[in-house]
Amino acid sequence: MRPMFAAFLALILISIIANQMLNSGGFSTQEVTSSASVRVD
Amino acid sequence: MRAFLSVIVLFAGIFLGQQLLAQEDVKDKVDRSATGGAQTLEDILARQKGEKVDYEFRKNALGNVGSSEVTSSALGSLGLTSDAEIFRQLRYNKAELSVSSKSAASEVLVQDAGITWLQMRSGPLISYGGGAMIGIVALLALFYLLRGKIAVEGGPAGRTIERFSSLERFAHWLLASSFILLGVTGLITLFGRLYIIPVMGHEAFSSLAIFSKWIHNNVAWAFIISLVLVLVFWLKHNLPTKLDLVWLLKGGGIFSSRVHPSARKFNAGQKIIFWVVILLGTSVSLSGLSLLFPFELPMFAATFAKINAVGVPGMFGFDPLPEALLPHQEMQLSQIWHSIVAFVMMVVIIAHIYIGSVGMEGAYDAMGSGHVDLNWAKQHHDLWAEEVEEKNNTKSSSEQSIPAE
Repeated sequence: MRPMFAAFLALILISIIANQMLNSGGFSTQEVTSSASVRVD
Repeated sequence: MRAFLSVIVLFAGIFLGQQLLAQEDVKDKVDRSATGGAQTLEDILARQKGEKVDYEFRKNALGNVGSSEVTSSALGSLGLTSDAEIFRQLRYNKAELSVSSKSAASEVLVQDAGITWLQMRSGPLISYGGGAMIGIVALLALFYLLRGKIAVEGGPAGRTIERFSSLERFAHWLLASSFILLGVTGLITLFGRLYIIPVMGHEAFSSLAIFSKWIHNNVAWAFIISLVLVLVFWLKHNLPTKLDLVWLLKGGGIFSSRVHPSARKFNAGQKIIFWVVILLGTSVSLSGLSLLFPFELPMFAATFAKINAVGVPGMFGFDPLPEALLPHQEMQLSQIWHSIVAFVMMVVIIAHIYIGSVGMEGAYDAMGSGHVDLNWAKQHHDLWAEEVEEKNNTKSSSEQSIPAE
């Protein structure tokens, strides 16, 4: 059962790290190159 | 019999395709001189009857593209282009535009394909996808009622052998848990507007949708990583062999308690699941990345160009696939493809979960503890069980032959 719980833990860690990286990197050129006053969607 | 049916289906497809093309030819010959090239009464009546109307003629009625500037003075006309023509220029993405946001997507002000995508998403995608999932659950329930739980013949041996290492089980559970989370949150996103909002209301669903989106966007990376791990661990065991044909011809022995076709570490059924997960998992990951980074990773126009180059649509009597797609169309196709592939995977995985849990005695242990009963191994993976036993015997005999110091 240990590998299963290790996988669940890894899933949580990967998700949190991915979220941090994506938020700091931005999801699109449009989002990164536009200022806060420009609506992009 | 199957080959015969396939030929019939192929010819029927070609015939229908030719009929459609013939109809298109008739529509192209419609005389529109009375309306100055605009739609005719026949077009309107056909649309009201629900018939397919070819609106291609509108794409050519764009006036003078790029010549809509003032011709004489501030009070002069807007060139030789009418409002309707300017609208069609915008609609068919032919107008000369200047936008402050520098991206291809922001230059598209009107796009027709959106309504087709919306109708597909809220219609056939939901009904066929949901129907397939309900169908497989019903089918498995029926199978369980008829066949029952597949037992270990002669009962458990009481001796176990290692089926999967800790690393293999880690990769499997990372893949399984991420897939289930992605599946559930994807279904919430797809079915939310039609089925969940009427039950829990807009505000509660808003929180659920935001949470689902967070899970879906971020858990996707665990799915991709685990997909690579599983491929590395199990690729060599899942290459097709002649043995798989025999296994498939005998139905894997799941319909009879007396038939046990030979198999190594993975039988043909498991190999099919492996390749479905790897190939469709890669495809769903690519379309998911395209959706996660809007307009950054367009793939369909390039894929369609390759399919056309091979001549696949022509083989079935269809026109070539569109090779020039707007950024929004790329996103719409990604979403539709992402959902279709995900539904196919969910149907296959539901069957996999069934056989790995309630459907077969002793199967869960393979991924639970990593060890399976020897009789279970001999029954379902006889050749693999022999290999493992030989290895164990060799190991134990070599250990015995080492002289004590």
